[in-house]
Amino acid sequence: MQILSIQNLTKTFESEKGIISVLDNISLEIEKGDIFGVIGLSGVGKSTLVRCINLLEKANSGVINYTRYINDKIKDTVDISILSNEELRNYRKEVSMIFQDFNLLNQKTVFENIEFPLTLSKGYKRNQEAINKIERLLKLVGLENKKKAYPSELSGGQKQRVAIARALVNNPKILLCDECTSALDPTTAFSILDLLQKLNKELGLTIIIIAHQMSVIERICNKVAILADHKVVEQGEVAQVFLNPKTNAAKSLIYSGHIRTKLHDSHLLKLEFNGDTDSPVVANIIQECNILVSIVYANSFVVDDKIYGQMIIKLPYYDNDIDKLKKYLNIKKIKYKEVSTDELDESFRSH
Amino acid sequence: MNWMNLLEAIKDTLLMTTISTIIAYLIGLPTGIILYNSSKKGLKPNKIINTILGTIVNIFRSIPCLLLIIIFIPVTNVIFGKGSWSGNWYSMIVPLVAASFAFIARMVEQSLTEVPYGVVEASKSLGASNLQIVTKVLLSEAKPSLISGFAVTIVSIIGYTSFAGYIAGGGLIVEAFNLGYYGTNKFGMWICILFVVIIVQIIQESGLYLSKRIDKRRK
Repeated sequence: MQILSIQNLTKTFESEKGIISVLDNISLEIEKGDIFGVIGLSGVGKSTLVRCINLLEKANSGVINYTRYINDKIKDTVDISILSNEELRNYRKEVSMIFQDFNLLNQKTVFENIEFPLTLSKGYKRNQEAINKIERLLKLVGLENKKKAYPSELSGGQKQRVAIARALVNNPKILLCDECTSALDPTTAFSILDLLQKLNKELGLTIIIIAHQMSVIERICNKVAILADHKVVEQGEVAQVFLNPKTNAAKSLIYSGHIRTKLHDSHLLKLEFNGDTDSPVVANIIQECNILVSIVYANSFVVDDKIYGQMIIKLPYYDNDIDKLKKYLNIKKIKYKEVSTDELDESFRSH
Repeated sequence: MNWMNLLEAIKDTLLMTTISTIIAYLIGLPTGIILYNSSKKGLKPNKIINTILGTIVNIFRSIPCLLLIIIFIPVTNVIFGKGSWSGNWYSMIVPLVAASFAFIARMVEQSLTEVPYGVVEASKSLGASNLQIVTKVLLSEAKPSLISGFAVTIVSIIGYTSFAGYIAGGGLIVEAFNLGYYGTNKFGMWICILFVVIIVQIIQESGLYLSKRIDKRRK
């Protein structure tokens, strides 16, 4: 069930050097309940994309259609570029956003920060219902004892939790996360991602998350789009894109920082684990085939509670060893593919 | 030393300052808000409005208060009646306001600029209208800075009242001037100066104290 459909979105900026294209013909389909990751290197237009989605930035051309549902039945679909000012403000209440720098109101308490979006509605009064709602949210993000604290008294992770609660107070359908974990240390970042995943599961919240680290996407996303050169170069299910990156941009993002060894003149074999493998593969190869293999790259991640992984190993030198290895992999039903050094080199060099 | 005169002078200075400050803020605060919001980073960038308003503010800021009083004599005449304003400090309100509103406008603009842009953007993304952003975000987040700016403004308006008092009569500074320059009562002059210093000190320090007190950013 589609909730957001982006078609041929184009955005240019004027600068001293002339017109710069930031988003070049971007098309994405986001379904209800997705945790959709958008990844790419800095300056590729990821943030602009998410800012176009809630119209903090206006695209030059292209369409963004937003579909509303009532009990899983389509209520209406709107083209967000033609919303009136008031409709836009209501749309923003349904598609809210969190930021890298949290952007909390520094002169207001945690409670008042979360209350802030409510106070924007006409005739709002702080009644028991509102108080209960805010307290429920505080509990949901794990800050029930920080109600009266000011942002300056909170850690980065706590600030982002407040921002999340604030973004949720109007019961949005989509949450946009613009590099929301980039300012946090890895442990805190993961706890925020886990919280987002919990919101996705418990509230059915659709999440669009912008990141430049693969670890973010791996951890929580079910779908991913890879941006390079201001275009979408690959998109699809995370497992599928990660196990079979086709473009160099995707490869360099996925393997980035993993391979440091010189790979000249070596033949490589890429093994894929698709969630069914549950045995110590390398150890078995060494024991059962009596071949020594060295691992060049290995990675695994969990999508929908299944473990996916891939490993690139150097092929043995002798042909009969190679045959033995392939036969073994066939028997064990492990997918493999020979990859060339050039192909990998190409994608690493761009780093 | 006539203590009744001193009391009268203190009262005149305080009243002159208070009334001009209030009226000047009524004009200067909205002007500052418009200046900020019509600028490139504002909520409704508008080069024409920004340039026109900015130029007007600059003109008023570049003319010294004493000259403004003279320039405004025809206006003062129309409002308070020709010749009748001499000796009545309240007739100096118009040039005092003219001299201070521009200063206030720039102070307010500066305070609003200090609010992180991301906070404004976040409020927008949460569905706030421009008016709500001004009232609920900008002014409220800039409050500590606005208050310390308020104290600085009052102190400079006290300075302006000396010119007003000199032309129309009244106020502590003129009293000091009269006693020290025309008269021979140097002691009286120093007493007046002492009171001016005390008033300025109280306003400046309480402004800073209040600003720090309500600022939740540093703890």
